[in-house]
Amino acid sequence: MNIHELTMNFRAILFVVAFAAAAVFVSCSDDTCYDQRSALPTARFYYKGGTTAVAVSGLTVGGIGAAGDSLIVDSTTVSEFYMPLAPHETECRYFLRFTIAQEGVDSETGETVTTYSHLTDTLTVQYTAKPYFASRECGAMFYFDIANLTTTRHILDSVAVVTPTITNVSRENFRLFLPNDDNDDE
Amino acid sequence: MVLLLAMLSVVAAAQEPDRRRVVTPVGQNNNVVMPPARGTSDKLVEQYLSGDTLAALREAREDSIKRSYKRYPRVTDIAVHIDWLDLLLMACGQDYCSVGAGVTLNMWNRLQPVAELGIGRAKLTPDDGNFTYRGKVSPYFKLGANYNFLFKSEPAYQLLLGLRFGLSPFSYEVTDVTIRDYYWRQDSEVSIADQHTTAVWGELLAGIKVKIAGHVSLGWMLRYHLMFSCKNGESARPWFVPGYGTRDSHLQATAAVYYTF
Repeated sequence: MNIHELTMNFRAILFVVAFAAAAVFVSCSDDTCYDQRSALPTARFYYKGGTTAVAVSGLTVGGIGAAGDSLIVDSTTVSEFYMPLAPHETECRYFLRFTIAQEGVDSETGETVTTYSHLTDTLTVQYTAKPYFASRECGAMFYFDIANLTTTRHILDSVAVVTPTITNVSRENFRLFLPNDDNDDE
Repeated sequence: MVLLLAMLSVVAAAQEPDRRRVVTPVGQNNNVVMPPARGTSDKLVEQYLSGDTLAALREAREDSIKRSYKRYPRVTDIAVHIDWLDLLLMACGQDYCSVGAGVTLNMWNRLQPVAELGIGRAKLTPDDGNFTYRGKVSPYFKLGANYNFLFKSEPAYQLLLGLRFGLSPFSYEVTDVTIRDYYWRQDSEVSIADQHTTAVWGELLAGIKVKIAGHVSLGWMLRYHLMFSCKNGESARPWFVPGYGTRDSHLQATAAVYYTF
């Protein structure tokens, strides 16, 4: 192989490598957002002292003062739900309407009947919001730093903040504890 | 019967081959005088014929190494280069660009310390995004070395494997941010300004360098990046790092034009 052939071979390799590199370069972009495009705190139900999430039936959740009185959870069975925070405020309040089923005996017919009643708790979240650019794929959004979380105690026993910084990575942020009078979860 | 067995054993012993070991220091071809290898110096032949065979063998080995490939001086050449591929890709629509220059000292045509510096910038407004990312013009620096696997060949053709240590202090901002709030209906338009951080990374690279004409060569490199440190800004994660490429990518292709002194 003379020097001319060697040069031609090198130039051929050179262009193949250049085009392969350019192809890799162009094809490596991935526009998928694998997290979320907004920061939404997640609340999960537990029995007091328990470590396993429990499902609550007949639950309705909504933000107090939300536009159109739109609901977050509408009379369904859930073990967790998102609590969207208002970016221009420093406090948000939510109502949690629990459905209580009670069995009794009809005094006239003597049959067993189930009656339903409702009890409502109010969750209050205090926080600060700051704009944050997460990534090219997920974009910019508000992140939140939770300062305080409180509740009324009609049904709920207590609440706890697990992760005080709310980002677009899906994780448990709040724990809502139910009284454990008749549970064997512990 | 005893007589028959005795006769059979005698016959069997007579048919066994001769297993005696023949040891002799003299081979059949030992008296042939082999001519010296082509190119062997007269001094070496005379030394061998004089009887100093150990010195002759040592010199023969060194002589064969010298004849097997050319030895290059400690400073074989010095080359300066400019990276141009990112400029081309940015002209084709890429959202960022790093332009750099460097100096390569070619030692023994084998080891090549390299120093690189350059600047990078970015501007990204994705169609499906809610922001404009601006990477301000910021510098980057790289130090490292290449190893030329074709050190036995002419310096005009090089197959390189190298390491780099890179550093870039850079600034960026995210503007025109529109955040929709579909629950509380509190839409926002904000900007995230004055974000600063410093990135430190390493590179493993492979590439080739080919002489095109005169003192001018072209080189292609494929670089694998490993980020050692790049803290997020106070309110934004950096998307582009000068000299590195996009923050989450590990591969980068570069091309450079070299001028060799």
